[in-house]
Amino acid sequence: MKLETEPMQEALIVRALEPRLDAAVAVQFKDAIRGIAGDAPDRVILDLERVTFLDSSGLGAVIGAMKLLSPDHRLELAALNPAVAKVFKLTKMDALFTIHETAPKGPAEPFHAS
Amino acid sequence: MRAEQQLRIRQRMSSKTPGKHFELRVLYPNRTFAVREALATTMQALEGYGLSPCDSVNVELVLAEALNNIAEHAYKDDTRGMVELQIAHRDNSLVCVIIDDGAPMPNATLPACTLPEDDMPEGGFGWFVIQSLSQSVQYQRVNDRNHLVIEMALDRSMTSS
Repeated sequence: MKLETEPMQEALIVRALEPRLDAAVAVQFKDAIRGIAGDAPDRVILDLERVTFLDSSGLGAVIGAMKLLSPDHRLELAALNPAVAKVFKLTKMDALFTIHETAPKGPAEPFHAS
Repeated sequence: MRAEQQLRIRQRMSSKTPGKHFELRVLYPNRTFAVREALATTMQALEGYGLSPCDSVNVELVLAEALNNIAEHAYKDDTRGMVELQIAHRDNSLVCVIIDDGAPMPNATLPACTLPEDDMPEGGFGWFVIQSLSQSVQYQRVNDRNHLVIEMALDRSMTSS
């Protein structure tokens, strides 16, 4: 799973660049987050706009990422596609995260919390 | 050998018109990324049959969970073996039969389909997801093979067209 990072105000945006966050890349994804965790600011926002499919292994990897980052950093999610949002809602794991409707595009743009 | 060549697909259908009954078979060897390829092939084959976007998401998710479970448990540690997926459209539902030659389910029964109790669980959602999105799930061990039968209700929009 390729990730791109972009510092923005007091947060770090981590953008998932591939369409599937599934069992095939779950371990890789967590490793990539581990690599980012050290230098990250308090807030880390995972931009999932490009992810169109997430299975329960992908969900587990996102929760694992949150555990890796805590307690020093807070993981928030942004721009969930309907198929991705469905998995979070179905398993009630949406309650664990602050979820933003859209990912911040530029420093001036405010967040839209859902 | 290229992955695509290893996939065997057979489709039988009365017509490729939405609303007509159809059957689909996908057969693939267990290996890394095989589940992804099998899902891509299956979803591509299903595209022509007019599943609603919501049904399509549910079917892909349920199949992903079932096939991942086979890769992770039945064929643990990259054991060699085949997986056969049969999908039949029956009136308002899709009946998926998934067969593998791997290890049987513990106690020869389906695992609990409840959400994990951990506050921040990293796994254990698969069967809950399958059960939540299906009408029925049945498991049988037949002739040293696992048979999983999952029936999913479809949107009326597909069958009424």
